[in-house]
Amino acid sequence: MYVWKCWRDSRSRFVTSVIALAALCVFLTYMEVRFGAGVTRGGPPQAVTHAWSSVTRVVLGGVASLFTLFLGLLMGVSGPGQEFKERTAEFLLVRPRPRRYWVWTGWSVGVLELSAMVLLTTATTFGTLAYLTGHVQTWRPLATAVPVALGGAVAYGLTYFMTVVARNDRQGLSYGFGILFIDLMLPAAASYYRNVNLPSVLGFMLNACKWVTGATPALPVGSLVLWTFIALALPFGAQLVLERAEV
Amino acid sequence: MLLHVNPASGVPTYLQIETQVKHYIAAGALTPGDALPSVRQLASDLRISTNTVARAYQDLERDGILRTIPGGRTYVAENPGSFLKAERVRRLRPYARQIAVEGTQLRLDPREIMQLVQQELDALEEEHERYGNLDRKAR
Amino acid sequence: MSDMAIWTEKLVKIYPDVRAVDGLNLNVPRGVVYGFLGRNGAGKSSTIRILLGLARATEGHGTVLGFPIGREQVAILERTAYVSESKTLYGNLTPRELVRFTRGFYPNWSEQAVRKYSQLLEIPMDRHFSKLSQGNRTKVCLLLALSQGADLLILDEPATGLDPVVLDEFLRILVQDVVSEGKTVFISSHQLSDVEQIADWVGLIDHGKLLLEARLDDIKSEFRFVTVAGNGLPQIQSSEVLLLASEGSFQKYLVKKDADAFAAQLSRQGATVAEVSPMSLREIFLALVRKEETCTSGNVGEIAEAVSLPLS
Repeated sequence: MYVWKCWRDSRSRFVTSVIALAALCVFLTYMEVRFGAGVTRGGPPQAVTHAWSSVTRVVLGGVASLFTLFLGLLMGVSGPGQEFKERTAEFLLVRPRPRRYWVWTGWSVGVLELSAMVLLTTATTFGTLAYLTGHVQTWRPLATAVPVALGGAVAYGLTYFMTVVARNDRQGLSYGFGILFIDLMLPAAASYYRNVNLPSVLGFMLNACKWVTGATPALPVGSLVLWTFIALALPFGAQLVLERAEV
Repeated sequence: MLLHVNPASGVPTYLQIETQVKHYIAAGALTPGDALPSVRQLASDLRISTNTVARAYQDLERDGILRTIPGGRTYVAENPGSFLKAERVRRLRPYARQIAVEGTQLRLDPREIMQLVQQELDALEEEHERYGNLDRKAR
Repeated sequence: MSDMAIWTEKLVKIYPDVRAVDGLNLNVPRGVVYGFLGRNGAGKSSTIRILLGLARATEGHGTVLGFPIGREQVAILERTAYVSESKTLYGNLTPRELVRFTRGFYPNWSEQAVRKYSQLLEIPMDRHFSKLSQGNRTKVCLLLALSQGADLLILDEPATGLDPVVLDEFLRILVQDVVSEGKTVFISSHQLSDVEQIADWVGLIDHGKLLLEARLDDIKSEFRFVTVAGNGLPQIQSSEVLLLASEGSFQKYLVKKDADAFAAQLSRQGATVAEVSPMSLREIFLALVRKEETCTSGNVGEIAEAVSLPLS
């Protein structure tokens, strides 16, 4: 029932996001393969290799990551937080379920949608790449779906948590965006000016995709664990907040 | 049988029902053996709580005026008030006292008070006849 | 306590600037219609929110249908149907979809009830909730509450926007299908005439405290206005008497018990008792809640305390 409602509320947003992201990535893949790497069907092997690598790093790792973060932020306004603004929280919270049910169910629906979006995008990009270069060089690009989806889940969870705290979807989105912005800028500045490495979700996504292409030898396990933990801590925080909330 | 209650009056609803039932019986509109509407039906028709109707029926049953078949309908008792005369007199005394007190309070003399009572008894007699005629015409 | 539908003991709710609920001891028996009355801001909504787990009591405790409030809230919510004062549901869903959303939560849900009541209450089932009038919104909320198969219905202003015909129909449904099944109905409302019609019990709340909690029939049997005329009315001490108004040589009392004895006593002491009259629920409500304003003699204390008459 609640799953159905969450889906109903978010399905148009979901469909638009999937189409937009997939279309964008396919387009960029095409541009990169044809003009960036200069590959024509079955073209020079070096170019093909280069194309595979650069598409994985730039399109999937870079563009898809950034857009997934952005879309994750936007999608996070669903769930019980916004119901306060719409005055339906009273109705919802009187249904016989513990409050954590609403938090986790809403979050799960969103994360599933996000993951589906990332998977579809990755698959279509992969397919486009394979098609344009004439063969499947490696299956590894598909693995980028994991870090990208995880990063997206973090952004999603951020807005989700903030919406529950602020009891307002617009404010939740603003706070979420603000925090993500800091997380993008601060580590970059710290790294550039002070050579200090601060954790950044986008940085994590880029590095993980780089590892997929084989550019970096070490799998960033630490980051993986950290960002998984954060991705789960955010809805848990939302649960704690909602359980103490008074309507 | 058409009952009517006025919830806004100061008289408790269950009492209003009891009074009306007693009146109908006294006037002959309800005769021994007649069925009364079920508690649920009457409550529903009057838009009042079933507890109120149940209480009225219970009181009347306790006074021997109504009789309920277990699990079934409520009927006007065959021998309404099959108590000893002494008992019946005892039951009426509080009402008599009330008339005496009220009448005196209103500065009416005993003769006028008795006249009033007689008038009411006559009116009841008339009603009895009317219902009796209706009955005869219906057959 | 567990044989009560709702029971609270010394319930307190403190907000930053006000004690909304101030030592409330509710006793709502099972199977009755309980009218919960009070002015705006008296603490009705705060109390209801605590019962439903939407807010937490600052002090005190209670049970609903035998389950402790707060600790077993989900069990309470499984068996309780609630119609809120705001009656706001999801605007982008139609009543039919709202039914679909709601029924999954309740094993005792009755689709038959949905069909029956949607027809009786004349609900447009396929119009988006945001486009419904206030009356229709109320009807949808009532529909959901009635179809839930709950043991307790908590209704906050259930008549909002209802025209007299629909309201009458709703009262009939309430009596026929809810009360007669032994379920409990807890109505919080300003519509005193509706409450008076259907309630068995009444609880009057003012400034977070219960001023009165009794069977409506008993209240009506016992409460009386006593209007008395006389000069030099002697001292009367009683916990059941409240001086309501004083004008010239007339005094008007609210007597909660044994009004005739009170009148007789005054009579013996030389006053003329002009009238001993019964009170409607509205009159009782106004008299109890407006006590400070109505009395012009300036000598009125708390409701439970004695009232003494001036010797002149």
